[in-house]
Amino acid sequence: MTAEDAPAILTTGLGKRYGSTWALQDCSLSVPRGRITALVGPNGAGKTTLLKLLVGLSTPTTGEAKVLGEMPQQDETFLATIGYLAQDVPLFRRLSAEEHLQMGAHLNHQWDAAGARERLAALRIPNDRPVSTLSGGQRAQVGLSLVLAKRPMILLLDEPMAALDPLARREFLASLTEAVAEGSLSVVVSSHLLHDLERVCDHLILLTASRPQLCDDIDDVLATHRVVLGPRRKTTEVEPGLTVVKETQTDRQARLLVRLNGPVIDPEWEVIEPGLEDILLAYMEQDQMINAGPMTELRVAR
Amino acid sequence: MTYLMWRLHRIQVLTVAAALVALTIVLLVLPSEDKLAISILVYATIGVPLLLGLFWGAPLLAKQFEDGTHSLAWTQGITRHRWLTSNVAWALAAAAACGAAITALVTWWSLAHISLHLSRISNGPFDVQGMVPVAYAIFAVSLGIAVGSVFRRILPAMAITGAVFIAVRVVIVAVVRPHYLSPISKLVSDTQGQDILSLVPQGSRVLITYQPATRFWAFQGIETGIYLVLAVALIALAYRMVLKHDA
Repeated sequence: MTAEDAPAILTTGLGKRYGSTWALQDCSLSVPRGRITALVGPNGAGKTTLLKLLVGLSTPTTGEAKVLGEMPQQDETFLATIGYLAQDVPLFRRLSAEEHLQMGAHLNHQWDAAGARERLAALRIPNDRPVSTLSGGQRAQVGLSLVLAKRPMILLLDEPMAALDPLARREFLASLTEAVAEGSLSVVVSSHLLHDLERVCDHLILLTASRPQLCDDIDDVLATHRVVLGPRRKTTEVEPGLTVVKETQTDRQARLLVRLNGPVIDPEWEVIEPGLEDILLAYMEQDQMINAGPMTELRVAR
Repeated sequence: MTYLMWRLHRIQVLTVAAALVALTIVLLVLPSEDKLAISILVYATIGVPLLLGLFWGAPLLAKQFEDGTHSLAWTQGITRHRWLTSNVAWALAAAAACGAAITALVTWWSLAHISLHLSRISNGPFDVQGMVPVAYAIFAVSLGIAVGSVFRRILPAMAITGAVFIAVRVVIVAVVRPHYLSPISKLVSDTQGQDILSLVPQGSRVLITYQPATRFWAFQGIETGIYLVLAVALIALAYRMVLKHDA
């Protein structure tokens, strides 16, 4: 496989341990090029760790990562292909947006300062004031302009909207969508909320408790998950073609969110198409139940 | 990187340059008879390397780690290695220039004030002239950089840099420096009219042990060498911390 048709992201058995805690483990993913991927998961699930591994800011404890066919490393060719915006959008506080652009021009071989100035002007972001005097939304836009000015092939954004108000979020997403529409850019945006990203993204990585649960096109995720309602009975009696993600038992009824491995045969079950958020929440809750062992027993006993 | 270094540190550079100009003017303006005031000023320059270590060395990397801007810099189109080299080179060059300016000022001034020149092998005058001020400044800034690369926080980096710098300076002055070369011992009698002999009975002879002033440059060379070796080790540590550890 040549670097040109290598997937945007390919990880095999990727893991990262800090001290005795695994921040990420058994992470094997493949994301095709040109996708806009939502990297979702609860806080502490390993999203930041994964992104840092992908841009070479950390080195893996186990396994390996390839981004556009290249191992993330301290190499000017690799660094030129990535655009990374860290959590909380770190900028040099006393420098203005214009000075950041100057800096970028000095630190990169290719640099589209004109395009960045145009973007900032269109958003009416003052170019000459220290960025510490700008609003959170404006700083995020400066950060996005900086990574776009690199003209990267893949953009990795770590919770860029976490601190933004709803209006600023919408503007940021509009900017991002516009930027992506212009080229064949691959994008990964992390968030602990899917809501913002659902309209923009076409691919999804779900991390819970430091492991990947889903990595697929959003359409496929929707197509392979169903909510089934039926008479109360034990989970073990469910069709072999189904994997139960989450079950809710009431006195009379069982409500299961399942992943389809084949068709639902039993006509007794009523089948509903769930929303994406329902599916993701089911996975996240499942993970919480595994973590809190006694809770599971309580639920069963009731 | 030069642009970024200048843009990030120009206020500090201009502040230090202004302080040096002010010191020069004060030395020029002070009446040359006012020995006390001038001595105070000159001895105050002993503290300059410490200040450089605290305010240039320690925050150099620690501030970027603390603000998270290192991850911005490390994902631009240059390698971490080049980023670090620019930072280190800039800070060490600035430290050396500042140390050189101090020693030049003091040396120039001591030519007009012979007491400082004659006693220059003594602790104190020794520390503010010759080559050692440059070595102290380079050591202090290297120490700050290394500590900052380990702790990645400004305040701990400054505190540890200050403590270690003072400890090293004191230990070297008090314990190591007297042994650079074996001191000369000499029996002197009252015929030589030494002041010290007025304290002892007439006709007795006294054994005095001392380092002759002619060894000034030898001592300067040895001490400079010690501090530069320490500085090299500290810079090596900083490279290791930055290149081998995650962001």
